Order: sequence, then C-alpha cells, then structure tokens
Amino acid sequence: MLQAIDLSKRYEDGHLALDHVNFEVKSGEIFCLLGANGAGKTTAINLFLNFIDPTDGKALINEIDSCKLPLEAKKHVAYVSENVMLYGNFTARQNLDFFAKLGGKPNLSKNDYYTVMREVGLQEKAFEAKLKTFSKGMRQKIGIAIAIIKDAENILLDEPTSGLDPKAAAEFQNMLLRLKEQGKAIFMSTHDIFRAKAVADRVGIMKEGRLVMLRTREQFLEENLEKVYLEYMQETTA
Amino acid sequence: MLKTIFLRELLEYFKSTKFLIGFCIVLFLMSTSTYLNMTEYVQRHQDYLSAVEKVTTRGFSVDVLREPQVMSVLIQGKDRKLGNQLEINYMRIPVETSGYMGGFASQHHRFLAGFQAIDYAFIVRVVMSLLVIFLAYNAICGEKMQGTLKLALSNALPRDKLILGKLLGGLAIIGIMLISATLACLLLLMINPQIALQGIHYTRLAGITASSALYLAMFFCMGLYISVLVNKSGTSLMILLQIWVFLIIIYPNLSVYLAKKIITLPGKEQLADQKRAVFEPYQKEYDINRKAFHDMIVSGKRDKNILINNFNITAQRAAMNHLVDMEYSQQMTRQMHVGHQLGTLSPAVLYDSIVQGFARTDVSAFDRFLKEVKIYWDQYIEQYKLRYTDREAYKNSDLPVFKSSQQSISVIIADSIKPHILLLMFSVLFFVLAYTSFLRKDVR
Amino acid sequence: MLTIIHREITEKIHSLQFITLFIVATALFIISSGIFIQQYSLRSTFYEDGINETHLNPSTARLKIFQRPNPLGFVADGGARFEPAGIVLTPKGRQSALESGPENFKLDIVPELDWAFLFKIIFSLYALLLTFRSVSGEKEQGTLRLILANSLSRPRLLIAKYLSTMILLTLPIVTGMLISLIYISFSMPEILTLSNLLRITGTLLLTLAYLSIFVLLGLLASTLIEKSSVVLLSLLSIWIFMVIIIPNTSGILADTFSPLPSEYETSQKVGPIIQNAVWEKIDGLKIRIQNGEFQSKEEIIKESNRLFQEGQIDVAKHYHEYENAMQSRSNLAANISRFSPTALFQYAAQSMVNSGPDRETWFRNNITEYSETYDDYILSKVGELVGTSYFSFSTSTTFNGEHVNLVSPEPKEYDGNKSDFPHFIDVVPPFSQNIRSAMLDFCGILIWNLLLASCAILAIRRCDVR
Ligand SMILES: Nc1ncnc2c1ncn2[C@@H]1O[C@H](COP(=O)(O)OP(=O)(O)O)[C@@H](O)[C@H]1O
Ligand SMILES: [Mg+2]
Repeated sequence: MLQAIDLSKRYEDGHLALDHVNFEVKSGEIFCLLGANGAGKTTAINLFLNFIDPTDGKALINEIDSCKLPLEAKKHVAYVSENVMLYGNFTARQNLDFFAKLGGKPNLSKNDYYTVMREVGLQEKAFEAKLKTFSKGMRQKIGIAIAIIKDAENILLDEPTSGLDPKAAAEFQNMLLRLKEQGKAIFMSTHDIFRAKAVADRVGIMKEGRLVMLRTREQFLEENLEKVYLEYMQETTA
Repeated sequence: MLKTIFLRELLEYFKSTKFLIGFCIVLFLMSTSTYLNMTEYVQRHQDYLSAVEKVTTRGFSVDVLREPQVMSVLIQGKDRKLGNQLEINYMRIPVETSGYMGGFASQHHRFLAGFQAIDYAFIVRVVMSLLVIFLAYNAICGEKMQGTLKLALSNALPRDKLILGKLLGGLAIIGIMLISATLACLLLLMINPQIALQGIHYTRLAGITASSALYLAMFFCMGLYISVLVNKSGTSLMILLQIWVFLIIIYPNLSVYLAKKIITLPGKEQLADQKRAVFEPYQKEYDINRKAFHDMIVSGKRDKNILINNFNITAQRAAMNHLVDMEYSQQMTRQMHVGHQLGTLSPAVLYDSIVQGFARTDVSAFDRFLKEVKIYWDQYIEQYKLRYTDREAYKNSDLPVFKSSQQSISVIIADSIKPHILLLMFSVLFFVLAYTSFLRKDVR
Repeated sequence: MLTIIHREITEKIHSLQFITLFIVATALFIISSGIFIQQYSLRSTFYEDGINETHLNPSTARLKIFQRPNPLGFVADGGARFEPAGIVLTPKGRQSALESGPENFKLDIVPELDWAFLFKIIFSLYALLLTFRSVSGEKEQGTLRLILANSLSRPRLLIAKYLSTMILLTLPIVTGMLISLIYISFSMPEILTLSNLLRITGTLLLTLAYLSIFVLLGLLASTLIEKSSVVLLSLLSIWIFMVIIIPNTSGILADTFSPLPSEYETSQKVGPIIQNAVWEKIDGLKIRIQNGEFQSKEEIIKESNRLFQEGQIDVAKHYHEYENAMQSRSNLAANISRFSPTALFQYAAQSMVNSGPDRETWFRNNITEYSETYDDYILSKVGELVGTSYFSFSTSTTFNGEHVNLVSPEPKEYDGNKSDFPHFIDVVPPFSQNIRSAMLDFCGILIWNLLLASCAILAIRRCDVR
C-alpha cells in the first residue's frame, strides 16, 4: 500500500513542486497520476523513494515512512524510472541479475530472467546482447523487467510507456493488469491518458503541484476523461 | 549486497575498453622497460664485478666501488646516475662518485643527466595513476547519467554500501593490475640467469608493491570523490586530469626550484675558504712538512721521519677537508629533503621517496655509502701508515676490498612510515570526503 | 565555415580545459621568467668575474675560458645546468671542462622550466584535451548528424575545428610569451635585440607547427574512436609515449646498443696505455743512462721531458677517443629520440635560440681555432710549448751516483708583461647557421603534420555518422 499524506515539497530555489498532496494506492489497485510536464509527478515518486526529503507530510510504503526508515520502506517497492540507460557494457541478463540481487533476490536462475524478459516482450536474441546496442523501448522493457523481478508489493512507475511501440505498450498494459491481479499496489505517473483510461482503477490529475482531481474508474468512464483532463489543463493557460 | 556491487564493479572494469587498453599498455611498458633496465643493470653489475676483481688494496690510491642495486632495475632512483667508483688516498676522500674513467675525465653524469628513468616507479607514478583516474572518474556520476544510480537506490540498499562496494571494486582492480605487472617484472628478473634475487629482495619488492597500491588507491579515492561531487562525467574527467597534471608534472618541478631557493648551497670558493679556515691552525706545520717532503724527493734521500710526518699531517688535512665536504654533502641532502617536504602535497613525490627507500636507490643509501667510505678510509690510513713504521707488517697486512653493508628492511620501513602515513591520510581523506558527500548527494 | 569556427571558439573558450590552460600557462610563464632571471644573473656574475680575472691575469699554462650564459636560455635551456661553465685551455690545444661550482646531484631530476618545457609538455597535453571530443563528442550528442545534414563537406568541418583549436592555443602562447618577455626585459633590457626577437618569432612558428601535430592527432583519434573517454585514454597513452617515454628511453637504448666500448672497458685500457706509452720509454731511458749514453744531467732531463711528452700524446688520444665515444653515444640517443616529435621540437628550438650541444660544439671549435693563436703566443713568450699531462708522472734514477728525478714536465707560466695577450672572443653563431641546423628537425615536424592531416581527412571521409 502506498500513501501520500499532506505530501509537500518546496525546492531549494523556492519552487513549490508538491502542495499538500493526499492519495492512497491499495494493493490490487492501479493508480494513475496524470499531469503535464513539470506538474510534480516525478517529485512525488522521488519522495516515496527518499531521493529527496519532503518539506511537509509523509510518504508511506506499507505504512512505513520512507523518510524515516528509507531502507525498510524501499524493501517493499519496485521502481521503473523515466528514462534509464542501464549498464551499456552488460548484457540484458547481467543487468537484470545485478538489480535482482540488489532487490533481495540473490538466487534466481538464468531461466527466471529469460521468463521475465519474455514477459515484457523482449525478443529472444536480445537476451544476451549488450545493453548499449538497445533502442530506447528495449531499454524501457528491461527497466520494467527489473521492477517485475523484484516482486515487491508496491510498484512505482514513472512514465513507463514513453518510447514503447504500440504492440509493446499493449503487452505492457496486460502485464500491469496481471500484476494487479497478484495484489500489487501500482502507482503510475503518465501523460498518456488513453493508457490510463485502459488500466487505472483510479486516476488523479495533478497541476502545478496540487492534486486537482481524483476519480474512480466508474466516475471517469462516465465523465469522459479526456474532456475532464483537457478542461483542467485549459484552466492553467487561461 | 556489498558483494553484488563489488562483483558488478569488477565485471564492469574487465569489460571496459579503457581497462583493456590501459592494462595492455601497462604490461607492455612494464616488461619492455624492465627488460631494457635489466640488460643495462647486468652490464653495470658485470663492470662492477670485474672492477672489484681488479681492485688493488695496497698502494697510494685505493678504489672504492659502489655496488649497483638489483632493485634499480625496477626503481632506478639515483643508482644509475651516480657513478660506481671513488678513489681514496691519504690526501683526499671524495664525497662524490664518478664513472670508471675517474673524476676528472668521466662523462658518465653528463651523458645521463638529461634522461628521466622509465622504470617500474615511473609507470606506476605516471601511467598507472592516469589509468586509475580513467577507471574512477565516472564511478558515481556515470551511473547517475545512466540512471542506474536511481534504480539501484530504489532498493533497500544503504548508500554507504554502494560507495564501499565501489571502493572495494576499484581497489581490487588496482590490486589485480599491480600484481600482474609486478609479477611480469619479477618473472623477467627471475629467468635472467645473471640476476640472483635473494630473500631480502622479495621483501623489498613486496614493500614496493604495497606502497604502489597505496599510491594508486589515493588516486582512486580522489577520482571517487570528484565523481560524487560533479554530475557530468566529462567535467569529472577534466577536473581530475587537471589535478593529475598539476600533481604529477608541475608541482614536483616547482618544489625542486623552491627547495633551491630556500636552502642555498655555498659556492666552490666558499667551500675552499671554509676548508682553509678549519685547517688554519695546522697550516704552518703542514707547509713545513710538505716542504721537507718535497726536498727529500728532490734529493732522493729517504728519511722515515719526514715521510711519517708528511703522511700524518696530509691525512689529517684530508680528514678535515672531508668533514667540510661532508657538511656540504649533508647540506645537499637537506636541500633535497626540503624539496621532498615541499613536495609532500604531491603524492608523486611521496611515492618516489618511499619506493626508492625500499629499492635502496635513494640519496640516503648513497649517504650511508659515503659514511662507510670514511670508515674504510680510516682502515686504509692505519694500513698505509705501516708502510713507514713497519714495512714487513705492511706487506702482510691486508686491506679488505670495500663492501657496503646491507641495510635491514626494518630501518627502511621505519624511514618510510611518515610518507606512508601521509599517503594513507590522503586516501582516507578523499574517501571520507567521497563518502560523506555521497550520503548527502542528490541522486535523481 | 566561419560560423563553425566561431561556435567552436565560443564553446571552447569557456571550457574548463581552456580556462585552466590559460591560468596555468600564464602562471608558469611568469614563474619560469622569474627563475630564469635569477639563474641568469648568477651565471652572469660568475661569467663576468671569470672574464675579469682572466683579463687581469691571463695564464700561459692554464687558461680559463668562460662561456657567456645564453640570454635566450628561457626559451630553450638545452641542459645548460649540466654544461661546464667554460673550458680550461692548456698549450697544445688540450681542452678540459671548467667546473661551474658544485651542482646538487642529489636533487630529483626535473626538467628545466623553460618555454620549450611548457610547449612540449603542458601545451601539447592541452592541445589533446581541447580536441579529443571534437568529433566523437558531437557524435555522442547527436549534433554531428545535424551539422552534416547541411551542405558542408566533412573535410571542411575538420579544417574548421582544426583552425579554431589552433587559434585558441595561440592565445595563451602569445599572451604568455609577451608577459614573459616584458617581465624579463625589465631586468635584462639587453635581450631585446632584433636578432633575438627574430629567434623568438622563429620559435613561435616552430611551436605552432609542433602543437598542430597534437591537434591533428586529437582530431584523428576523435574520428576513429567512438567513445570520447576511450579517445582521450588512447590519446594520453600516445602522448606519454611521445613526450616522455621515447625521449627518455633513448639514453638507455643508446647505452645498451651502442657498439662502442663502455666506459668501464675504456677505463681498463688506461693502465696498459700508460705502461706502454710512458713507462716503457722511461725504462728505456734508464737503461740508456746506465749504458752511459748521456753526458750530463741536463741532457737526461731534456730527453725525459721529450719522452714524457711523447707518451702523453698516446694517453691524450685515448681520452679523446673516450670523449668521442660518449659524444657519439649522445648523438645516437638524440637520433633515437627523434622518432618523437617532442624531441624534434626540442632540438629545433635549441637550434633556434642557440643552446644545447650545438652551442657547446661551436664554442669548443672556436676554442680549437683560438688555441693556435694561444700556442703561438706562448711560443713567442716562453720559448717552448709544453702540453699538460693527464697524469703527472715521476720516477727517479741515478746518474754518476747522483740522484735524478724524472718528472713529467708542466707548462710554464710566463712572468713578464702579458698586456699583449690575445684574448679569446666568444661569438654567437649567425642566425642563418642556427636556422640551417634547425631545418631538418623542422622538416620532421612538418612530415608528422602532413601525415596526420591526411590520415585525419581520410578518417573523416570514411567516418560512420550515426
Ligand atoms: N531540483 C529541483 N530544483 C528546483 N525545481 C525543481 C527541481 N526538480 C524539479 N523541479 C521543478 O519541480 C516541478 C515538478 O517537476 P517534476 O516532478 O519533475 O515534474 P513531472 O511531473 O514532469 O515529473 C517542475 O516545475 C520542475 O521545474
Ligand atoms: Mg517526470
């Protein structure tokens, strides 16, 4: 379970990137955070991972405050970052292997890695190829595979579908649903409104650091999410 | 956890092109330079042995020969530059060695003067330190640029473990490079039938390797620190290279100039004046005796008393001149020490003085040799005196061929403790800096 | 093309490398000038004192000839501190080194901090640091594709990059040179002669040609190798080889592979030569004395003097051979090191400012010429010419029951008025002669340039732009 309680972040330059944000992602639930570039989505994720300290409020992972007990909290969360280059000199499997070990899975076999890579839709011949030959989408798949293999109860995804081709995106969508079925709490930041509509149990729209709207699946299906989103965005420019 | 990171680091190094290039260059340089220096040493040692065989220990002049050090193959220090011969007689005890052609004719020093030694010490000091910088410069900032730092730290991985793993990985790779390079050199030395290594040499070599490791570790920690401090690999590399240029190329140079300014050596005239002043009380006696001696030679009438008196006063003069010369020699040593002290901030200077101590090719080895020469000269004087007092005894007395004693390794270690501690301090300092700033680093 | 040069310059002028180069170079120029002024004034006083002494009291037995310190030593010192302060000339043309006073041989050997050092080590390194990213870096950023998407030929891009780096390098060089010159001319205004300024300009051109090698090398490696960090590592390896390793190993190579006898072997021949050339003659003389060939003691002494002098010729010849062997070993080392452009530059720069071994050879040759005048003078004053011995020999014998010392003769000091003494005049070789001796090395530098330039152009034509 992921919880943001009055979560706020003011950067050193005085910019208020997050303004008392509250939300909760239960296990078996997918929460999508929508927002334009610079809305504060990555900031929220960074707070959960204790890459930065909150100015106010708390980010809880399985009810552990990630600011107070970061190591304990991070045991229960997997993370897919926005754009990751990974270790170029290593093969896909070696990259997976390293991060699996860091994630507390030291005894996985080659086959386990292959299974996960198949799952994220990486072509067989890339399994033992060096990462520096990979395209952006292929790297993104490895990033997702790394998160899957950690098998944590919570998953934080920062714009995971950027760079994926339509087929891969569709596969990714299925995978999210499978993970959800396994009872994971999934938090995904995105500006891909269609993807959000397809998988999310709840969506939040963020604007200039404030969570301006929260809708459940039923609500946003009724309301036509695209329109709502654009309306909120419009207000900014207006 | 630590192990995982450590192993990944190692693997990363092994796979990288820079390591491959660097390692090949280091091995190539090590073996060729050792081969060349070894050939040169064997020749030098051969010359020394032949010279020792031919040395006459009875007569007006006796040659004192300085044995070349085996370890000079690896760490040349002053061993090759300083000649191997010195001629003593009852009129003079030089405090400088020369080539075998003798002090006034030998061009030995001048021929060698302009050349820097390319040896094990040089390769570690210049080439390997550079390589280590290349291995360390993107340790943290490179990962940050790749995004793997974020990913790694999204796990329950304490930051100190990450940086410790990096340090250990770096140290291991340094160890691997250094040990293989040293073994290559050692192998070359061992298969050469003309070089006989003894137990003490292995100990010395072990000391040299350990100090080299410490020296390189310092550069690694520095690289680590800069790579934590800076966010772009390119900037980190540039900063490190500028530091390297300054520490290795510019600073040691300046410290020597500064030393020359701080400690000024008396000129030739001043030295002569000093000698004259010291000998002043005996000058009259000396002149009288010399004149008597000269007259005796011209007349051809041997007079035992004149001979003994002349001998005694001349030897006394030589000993007193030697005192002044030694004082001057000490002053030179002091100047060099000041240079080293000023150079303390440059690990290159520290490193050189440590390994030259281990190899026994440093100035203090030479100064020790000079002291032993004086002791030997005293023996020679005792023996030579018999020529006038007891000719039979003179014929039977045997002055041993000069042989300098071995310095025990413990003395060397004791001498090198200070520079070692400094090097260690620098390493620890840089690592602590890297460590603390990494704990506070913004990893996003 | 101008746009590219402009962009390159504005980008690099703000780079860390360039700023440090500027600061470090300027600081080193100032420091080196300071050191030079001090050393020069020391050497000058030594020289003036020596000259005055010789002028007051020239010797017909042992003439000290001092060498004027080189006022352009700050450009390329050429190992002046290892050279003797002059020559001691004795009758019959024997020259031996005049020691300049004890030099601390215990100090660490560090290269002389002259302009040549700055150019050949510091600037060459920074030339690489300024170029290594020029192609590979643009490739990594993806800007190379963008640039080449315009109608610009690849070689022109390369030329633009080359020119911009050369312009950037010239800035600190010229600034540093000017600062240095101004600084030095404050305390030694006499150096500002036309010929000296010409020599310095020549050195500037030479320097640019030398640094251009490294710029081209950087461009070449940058086009050939993909990753910037690997480019730099390779370049620095080459740099270490060219700048430090080759010039410094040439000594040991020459020493090991020279077919000439080693110093030890030569030294072993001294004893036998003395035995054969001197003692056998003297022993023969002793026998002749016993056989009663001589009428008087004077006759014996005269004959012994003649024999000693004759013997000394052989000894002198041996020492001469030794010196020649050392000389040719030095030459061999120099030639080996000429594989490296750095050595070519060093030698050419030395020729430009008239320093180094060439200057010494010129000096010695002048003295050899002068020694005839000197000998003539001695002959006219003293009446006989006695060369100095390498060793003084003495032995004794009896003649008619009288003790006779046979001692090798020494040249005599003329006690009379020596105001008509023909003094040696130290002249500097004409610039044209120096240029001629620099030419070959300069050509070597040009060949390196051509070679690397053509390689770089080929490489950029074939370069895979991704
Ligand atoms: N280190 C920082 N210092 C100051 N402002 C920052 C910093 N990082 C992000 N910001 C600002 O915070 C806001 C939110 O950024 P971010 O969370 O990255 O947005 P996004 O929703 O696109 O992920 C942006 O306006 C950005 O400019
Ligand atoms: Mg973002």
